[in-house]
Amino acid sequence: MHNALNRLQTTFGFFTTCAFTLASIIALLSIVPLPAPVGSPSASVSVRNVQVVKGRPHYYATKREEFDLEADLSSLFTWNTKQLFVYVTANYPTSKDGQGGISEAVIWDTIIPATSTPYSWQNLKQKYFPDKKKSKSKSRRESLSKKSTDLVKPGFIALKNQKPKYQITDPTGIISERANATLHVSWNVQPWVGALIWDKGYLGSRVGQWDAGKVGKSETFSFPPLKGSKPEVVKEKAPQTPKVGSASPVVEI
Amino acid sequence: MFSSLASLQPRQLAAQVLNFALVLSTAFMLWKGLSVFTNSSSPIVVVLSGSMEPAFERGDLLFLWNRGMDTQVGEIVVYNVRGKDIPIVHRVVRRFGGGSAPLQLLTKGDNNAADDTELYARGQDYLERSKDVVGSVVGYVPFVGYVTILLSEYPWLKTAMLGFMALTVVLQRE
Repeated sequence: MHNALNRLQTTFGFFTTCAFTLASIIALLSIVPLPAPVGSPSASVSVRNVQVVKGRPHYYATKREEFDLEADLSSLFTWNTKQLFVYVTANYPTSKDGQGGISEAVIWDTIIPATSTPYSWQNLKQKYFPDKKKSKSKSRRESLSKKSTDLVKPGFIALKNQKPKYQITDPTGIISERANATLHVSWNVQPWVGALIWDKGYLGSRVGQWDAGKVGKSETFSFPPLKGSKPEVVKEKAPQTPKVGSASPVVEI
Repeated sequence: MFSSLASLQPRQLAAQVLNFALVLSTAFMLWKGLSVFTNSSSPIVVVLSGSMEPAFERGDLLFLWNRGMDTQVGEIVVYNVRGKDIPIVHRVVRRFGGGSAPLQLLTKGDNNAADDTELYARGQDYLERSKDVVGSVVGYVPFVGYVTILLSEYPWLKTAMLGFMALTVVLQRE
């Protein structure tokens, strides 16, 4: 009745129950949220120059649009935050008459990991079994990166003239001269265990309601007409038939 | 070894079989009930690849919810490539439509440099929310699903585990 196998089974079962209960409590407390967050996130984003060029659907050109982004998302880093995913989207109405809903495309994103606890596996290993065989440059690089995560409280973003990571296209192929476009900043908290939280959802309004006035929405702008499509250009070179599938304009913003 | 089995009356044996069948069917009912509640064909999935690191690692368990038909950019969805039965967990980076037109999505893994256009079926540029998406990730538990990955990658583990369980059932005197 009390042989070794039974004891092992009981212990393992008890361990599972405890781990499960702990995970549920952590997940629940993160949603309540308890302890209450200090401060609330705020962000402001503004657009610089936008350009629309012709290109193949996945054509990468060198010139891009720029935007400024300033955000303070440090209140979202709780004890249950594993990382924060911040992304900037360009929103514009799908069709000219506004019937089709709003199209959104991510132009820039970043992952902000939470600072690692001093008891994490890496840090403990580093403390008790430091690597002595490292080359000088590697240790310098590592110490530099360690400094940047320890000293700076995560969640502060200040970017000026930031070039976007992704060039966006529209499935209709035409993105020039669309009006009522805005840039939005959004975030997504990835927990260690539990529910994922977005700024747009119900949980997001409990955990991190945007500061009034600093919602992270830029002013309305319009996509300019296609670059190089000025009507005064009369002189044409030898007629170039576009290659199949290469005439869809790409937003080079 | 088999004397313990032989000493059982047929009625007791039948009761044991019934108990076993009840356990199995309860588990099945719970699973299907969860499927109906979340409106998803597979409400709990295990992450198989590292394309969403550092958010999700291999072996993480994800809970899906499929009743939010207005998927926003930034949500993480599980979708099936049309024509294949491979579910992929990636983040939505673009959306078009919504309103009266069907919602179309483009996805990309956080750890990938390019979006998923190459993963989609030939001629397919975007996902349709109503047809291709299995669900949207709402919750997550780390590591727990690693057992299923081990079981599927090392099939001898499955037979070994089943054999071990059968052995303990037979050897236990109850």
